[in-house]
Amino acid sequence: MTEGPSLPILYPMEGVAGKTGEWRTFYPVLNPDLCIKCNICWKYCPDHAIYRADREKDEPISFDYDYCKGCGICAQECPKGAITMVPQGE
Amino acid sequence: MVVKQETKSMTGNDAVSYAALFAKPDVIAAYPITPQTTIVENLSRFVDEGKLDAEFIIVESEHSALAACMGAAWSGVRTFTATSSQGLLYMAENVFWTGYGRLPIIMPVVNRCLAPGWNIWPDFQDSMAFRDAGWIQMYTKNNQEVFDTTLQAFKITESKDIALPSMPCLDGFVISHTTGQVDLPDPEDAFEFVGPYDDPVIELDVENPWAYGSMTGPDQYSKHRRDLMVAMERAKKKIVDVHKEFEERFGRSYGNGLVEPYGDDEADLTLVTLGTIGDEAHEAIDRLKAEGHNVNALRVRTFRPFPVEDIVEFAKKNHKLVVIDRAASFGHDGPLRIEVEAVLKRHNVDTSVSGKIMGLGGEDVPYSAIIDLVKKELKE
Repeated sequence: MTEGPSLPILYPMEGVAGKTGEWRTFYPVLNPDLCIKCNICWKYCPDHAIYRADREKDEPISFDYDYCKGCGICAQECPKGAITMVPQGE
Repeated sequence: MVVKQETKSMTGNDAVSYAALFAKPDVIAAYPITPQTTIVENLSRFVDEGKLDAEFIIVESEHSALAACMGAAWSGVRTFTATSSQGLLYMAENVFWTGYGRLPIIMPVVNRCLAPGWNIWPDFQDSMAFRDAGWIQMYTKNNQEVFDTTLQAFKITESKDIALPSMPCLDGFVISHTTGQVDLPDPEDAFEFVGPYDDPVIELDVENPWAYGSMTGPDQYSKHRRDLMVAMERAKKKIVDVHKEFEERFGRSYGNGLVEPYGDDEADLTLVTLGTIGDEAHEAIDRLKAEGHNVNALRVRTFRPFPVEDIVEFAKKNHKLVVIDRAASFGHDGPLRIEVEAVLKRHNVDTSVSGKIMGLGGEDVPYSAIIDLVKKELKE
C-alpha cells in the first residue's frame, strides 16, 4: 500500500472544531423542579450538548457548556418551560 | 513487445470516448457543451448499448456534473467527465475542490475560447484559467495523442502517490471534430495498461465515517497545499514513467511525455508551442529547413506540472526561443511565454525569448503564418 496524499479529512470526535461553547451569547438554565425527564431537549439539541435525564436514578437533564452554542432550541421545545435562556454574564 | 492495434479513422472526441470506454470508469457524469458534446453522446450510447458497465448520471449543469463525480471519487471508484469553455467556468468551484481535495477524476477539456462574443472555436483561455487549480494539464497535438494521453491520465492520476486530477486538453474542432487516423489497441490490452482502480486514494467507509473539507486551521491547510506542491513535483517522474511504459506496450511516444522536441538539438531559432500549433510547427520547420533556415521546436506537452528542467536543458543548447501562445494573460503576456521566461531567468539561462499570441477564438494558425513569424524573428 502506497502512502496516500494529505487529505482534508476529519473523523468524528468530541470537540473537533474546538470549544464551540465560546460562541454563546445566551446560555440555558434548567429548573430541575419542572424537568419531567422526557429527554425531548436531548433529542432536539443539534450539538449533542445535553446529557440525558436518567429516570431510574431520578436525575434531570444537564448541559455541556463547553459545546452548547446557546441556540435555545431546547428552551423552545421543552414542554414544561423548564429551560430558560439567560444572557451570558448574568 | 508492442501489442496488435487496428488503424481506425475517427474524430478526436471519438478518440477520447474510446479511451474512456477502454478504461472502464464506474461513474460518468457529464453535461453536453460544444465542442465536447459528442464525447457525452458517445459515452451515454456505450452505456445504453451495454458496452460500458458504468453509472451514467444525468445532471442539469456542469457544476452538478463535477459535483457528482466528486461524490463518486469519494466513494473510491474510477470517475470520468469532460467539458469545454463556459461549462468549465460554470464548474469552477468544484474544479478547485477536486484539485485541492486530491480527487482522482479524469476530465478531458475540449478547448474553446470564452465569451463574449459568443464563439465556439478553439483557444486555451478556458483551461489556462484553471492553471492553478491543482490539476495535471496535458495539451495534445492530434487525435492519436488524445487517445494515448487520456489512457495515460488514468494511470497517472489514480496513483496513490500522485492523487492529482487530470485535464487532457484538446483543441476544439481542430482535434475534436476533425477525422484523423487513430491506432486503437484491443480493449483488453488498453485496460491491462490502465489496470483496475483497486487501491483508491480515498474510499467511503461506513464503519469509520469521515467528513471532507471541514474547517481547517492555517497549519493543517498549508500542510495540504505543500503536499500538493510536492505531489506535482513527483508527478513529473510519474508522467515520464507511465509514458515510457505506454511506449513499450503500444509503440508510440511524445518526447519524454513532458516535452516533445522536433528537429535538431541545436538551432538558431526554437519554436515553443502547446497543442495543435505544435503539430503545425513541424510543417513550418520542414519547409524552413528546406529553404536553408536552421530552426527546431519544443512542444510543451505537460503544462502542469511545468517541465522546468526539460525546458532549461533545451534552452541551454539553443539561441532564441519564440513562444506561440493560444491564450492571453491580459495585462501581461501569453501564459506559456511568461512561464518560459521565468524558468530561464531563475536558472540563469540567457537564451533570448520572444513570442506571439496567435489563434485566439479559433483564428487559423497555418504553417504559413508560423513561417512568417519565424522569418520576422530571424531578422531581429
